[in-house]
Amino acid sequence: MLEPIIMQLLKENGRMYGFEITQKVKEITQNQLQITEGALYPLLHRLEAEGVLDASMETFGNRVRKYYSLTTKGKKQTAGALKEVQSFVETLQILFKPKLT
Amino acid sequence: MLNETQIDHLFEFCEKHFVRHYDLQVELVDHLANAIEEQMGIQPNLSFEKALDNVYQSFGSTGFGRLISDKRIAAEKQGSKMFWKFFREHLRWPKALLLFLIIAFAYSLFRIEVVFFRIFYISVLVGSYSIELFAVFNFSRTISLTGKKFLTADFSRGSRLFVFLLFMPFYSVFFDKDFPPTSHGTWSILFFSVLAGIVVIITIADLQVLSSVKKKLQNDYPKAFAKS
Repeated sequence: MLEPIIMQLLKENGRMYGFEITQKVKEITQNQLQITEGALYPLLHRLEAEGVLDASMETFGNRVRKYYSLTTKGKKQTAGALKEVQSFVETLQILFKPKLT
Repeated sequence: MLNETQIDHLFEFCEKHFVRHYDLQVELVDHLANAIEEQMGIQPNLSFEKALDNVYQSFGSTGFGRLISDKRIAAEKQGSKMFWKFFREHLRWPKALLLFLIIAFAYSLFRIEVVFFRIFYISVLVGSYSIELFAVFNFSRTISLTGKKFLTADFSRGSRLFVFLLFMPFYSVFFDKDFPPTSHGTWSILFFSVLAGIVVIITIADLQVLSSVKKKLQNDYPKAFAKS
């Protein structure tokens, strides 16, 4: 579930760095969802290796920051991933809809 | 914002926790710095060390362990993907012309004189091997002069040519008087001509990987390469 969340965030925000992604998710979900660093960075690195994300480095003050953005392949995959999530949510709604007698 | 000394301390912290590669250290240091600044912003009396300890806890019981192992897998995948991308380009027009020319040239040589074919074949093997060794040595030297290790570099150095040559029937050219074997006629000659072409393309693809990775690292980490 983390993958579509990150891809959607990058689609909306253009490019983001790791810490920014964790903060944005916390902000949008009002702390209901917190992404751990142990889950986030392996996923970002895997998506980068698969060509879904592109990474660029920029100097920020006295350190270097790694920004991630969606590639063309990533943008196409995001649309597909979102459809899957929507379909999953609809299925859950059907399953857990209270049956009225 | 954290000062230089604190940033240096974060690099040492990563090193102490087995993150030895600079490309991974840089990303972690930035994350740690951001998280520490956030904590110290909320609690101004919190010390740098305590804030770092709190942030490190959020990486879970394995600490940076999973990150390191997953990054290794990702770097290997990336190196492999890059190689196959360059290799496939040489199987498509117009780059496929090179492969075709090598095959046609090798085949023609055999038709003129077997000895010419053998000389050409040995030259391709020895030449490709030598060029790769030199390129890998050069690449490794460029990286080592920075005084740092890069995971991306580690997995780009792996030569597919060396692996390919381990499994292919190439060495008989040095020992077998009847090389290339003509028992299967034209197909046998064609087979070895195609192998010669593939050796050249693998070499070119390996060189492209090394060049591409070197340029990206120099672009992404200019400070590290400026010192070398």
